[in-house]
Amino acid sequence: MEFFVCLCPATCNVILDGNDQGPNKDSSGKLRTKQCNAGRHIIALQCPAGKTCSPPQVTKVIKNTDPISPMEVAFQCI
Amino acid sequence: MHIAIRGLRLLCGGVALIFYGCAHYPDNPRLSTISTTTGYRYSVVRQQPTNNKPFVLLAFSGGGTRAAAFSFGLMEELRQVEYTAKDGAKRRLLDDVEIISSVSGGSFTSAYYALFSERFFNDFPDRFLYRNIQGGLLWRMFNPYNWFRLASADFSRIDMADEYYSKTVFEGKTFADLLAKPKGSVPFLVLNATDVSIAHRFEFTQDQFDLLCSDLSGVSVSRAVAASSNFPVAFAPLTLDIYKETCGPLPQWIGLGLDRVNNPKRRVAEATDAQSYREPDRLYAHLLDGGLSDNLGLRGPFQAVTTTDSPWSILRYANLDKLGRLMVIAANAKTTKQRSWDEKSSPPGIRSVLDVALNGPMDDVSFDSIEMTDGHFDQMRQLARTVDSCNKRLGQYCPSALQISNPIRTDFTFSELSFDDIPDPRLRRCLQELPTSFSLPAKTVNLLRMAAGYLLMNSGDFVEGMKRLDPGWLPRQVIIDGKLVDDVCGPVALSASISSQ
Repeated sequence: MEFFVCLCPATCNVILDGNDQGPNKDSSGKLRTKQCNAGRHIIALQCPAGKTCSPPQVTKVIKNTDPISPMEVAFQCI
Repeated sequence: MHIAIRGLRLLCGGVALIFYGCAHYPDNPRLSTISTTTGYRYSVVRQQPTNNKPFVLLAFSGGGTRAAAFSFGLMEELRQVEYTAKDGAKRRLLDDVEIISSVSGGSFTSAYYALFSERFFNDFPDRFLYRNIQGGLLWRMFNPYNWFRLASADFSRIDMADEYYSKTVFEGKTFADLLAKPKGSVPFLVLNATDVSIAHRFEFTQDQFDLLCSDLSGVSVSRAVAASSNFPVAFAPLTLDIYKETCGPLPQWIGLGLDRVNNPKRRVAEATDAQSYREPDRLYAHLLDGGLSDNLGLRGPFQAVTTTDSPWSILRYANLDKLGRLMVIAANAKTTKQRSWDEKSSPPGIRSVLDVALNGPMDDVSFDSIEMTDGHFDQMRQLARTVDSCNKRLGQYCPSALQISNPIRTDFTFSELSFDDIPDPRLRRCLQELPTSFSLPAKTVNLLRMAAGYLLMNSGDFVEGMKRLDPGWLPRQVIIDGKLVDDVCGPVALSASISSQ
């Protein structure tokens, strides 16, 4: 099992390989760690209405992670 | 006069041969455009899971009527499992079953439940378990009417079996009938077969049929069950059409999964197999028994629990924080034959060797599936404990540091019901040596039903999982009727003499 977080000032839904995986943060603003299988994935964020995600999506090879040190993927909603 | 009659007979025979020789398997319909919000998919037929109730997933193995009766016994027992939910309400565990993944004989039970859940417990034993399905199939085979039909290259014994199952068991129902049921009223059914060209699991879901650009709604449930229980040699492979007109793109993970450098080998293999349906030279898919690729029905659930690639990914619901408790129960009706080959220098005969060649690899794959699922759940529990321990240490030695959020918030339970766990050696041996057939004596069926209930209530993993769900829950005491054991397995003295031979 692999683990990653999506860093973004806004709270947005994480889209992994085209499928919604829920918000990147909990209600207190703490980052939520997502789980996935090892390998190459496309990660995107669904920004709040009126904003677009930058970069629109990133392709990452997610491997050798653990729940204590998940892979960090950074975005901005602009 | 005689010549004229003979000529007329020949003419009639010829016409019949041409007419019936054109018999064709039912074509699976074409799908013009893929829509992920329609068709027989988990997300379409089930409500989104919640943390308030367990997500129960059942896997039914193959093994003819033996497997069907064993899985039916599990369903009967689950009907009696009641627990007190957090809100104080009484719930039946059977109502929490989200998905049933099945193979071969187990597919008769799962499909009948999905189609006729309201009368399943009253109907299914007489409709299937106590019926001589094998005899019915043989009778059709010897019917001259079918000889002509079987002369066609596009109609084989499995298409005849499909017709028989449709008429006698499944009442001609299709996947459209399953789709028409109120959302969330019955579990999502995953009937597994094996695609022989790529030796890979093939499931009868719209997600799989999207790869073929075909509409599963127009396919009969009996056809899926026939494919799932299409035992090699006894039947020819069942054919499905693959349409080449574009119906939509492949899911994103498939393109990503083809990267051999950056993906685990299993993901590459899954992606390669999925993409093969869009290859220009693949016009048909030929299916055999699901047991050839996974005789437990556990591979699909394993993929769903461990990846976000699965079209019915359960891992995704963990990410959505909607998977508080996952309970997987596998009804494994595998047999373990005692062999005395090594007592003699002469090698086993061809029949015995064929038996090993066919069943040996299936048993190995099933064993691996169980180990993989159990091992994965263990690993997840260990990872969750590691984060908790780390936070505890942080609290002790570095109280100002931020606590690490634990992404593993699911309680995992895996229970395998197998004859190997029957404590009484006589009964265990008796069940382990039952034949794989579509006809068993009624008493044997009754014993199998009872054994499933006994094994569930005596499964340490299941009982522990239930106690975590409801600390006040207690397992029911199931006693296997000794008279029934004698009737099926023979009296004690006789059984002892058989086992000593």
